[in-house]
Amino acid sequence: MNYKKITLLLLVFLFLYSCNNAKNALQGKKRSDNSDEFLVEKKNPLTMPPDINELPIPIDQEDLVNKNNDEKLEIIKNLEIGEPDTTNENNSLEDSILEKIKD
Amino acid sequence: MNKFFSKKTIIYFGIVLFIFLIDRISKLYILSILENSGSVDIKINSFLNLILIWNNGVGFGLFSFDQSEIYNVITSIIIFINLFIIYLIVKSKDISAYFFLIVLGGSLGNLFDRMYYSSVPDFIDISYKGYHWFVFNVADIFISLGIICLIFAELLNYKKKNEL
Repeated sequence: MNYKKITLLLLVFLFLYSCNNAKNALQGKKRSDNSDEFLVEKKNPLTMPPDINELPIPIDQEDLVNKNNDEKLEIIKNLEIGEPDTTNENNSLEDSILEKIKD
Repeated sequence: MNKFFSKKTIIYFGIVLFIFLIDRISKLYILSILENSGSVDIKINSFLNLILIWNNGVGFGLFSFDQSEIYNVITSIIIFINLFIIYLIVKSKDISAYFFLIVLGGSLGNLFDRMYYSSVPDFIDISYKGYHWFVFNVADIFISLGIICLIFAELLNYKKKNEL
């Protein structure tokens, strides 16, 4: 029997035949061994917000800048007014302690 | 010139073209299902299913790697085998030429997919009591048929020679 010829035919068959494991089809073949789809957290689908129609009406950019500047100035003023002058108090306390020590 | 376009050559070409076209039509049909429904998973009966799976290796899912270099080497080997089969067809004078033609028709069908899609679509899944055979395509049927016939022809030739 010509075993050489039959072996050659089987080798040719292996290269020309193009079948794949059914396991890959049934289980879903991974694109890469390094990937792990279970590590990826599933995100909720994008939806429109319920108050989409209640959004504020856009204003001019210039007005917005001016408004912001005014607010900043007001805060600075308030800080300047509201800050108590503690330097004199500290001095007087220090003086009184020193006087008591002297006595 | 006349020898090239002889009746025999036309019949040979017709056989290869017929097998190639049957394979192409079946693959195009499966790919059209994929395009329309997004996936191919059709249960025809308890033995036969249609599941699409792409094979970028050789038979039985062997040499299925991501590297393009290995893929190109395998494709080159397959092209060489096809050229060798054409040579054998030209040289053969008996019925084995027709068996080689059947193998060539199927092989060219798979080779076309390798070059066009960079992968071969397999979709015929045969199962019995939960045991699944490898998923194959129409071209594989013809290749198997041709190879089996060639092996039988070889065995019969051996027997004939021994009887004489």
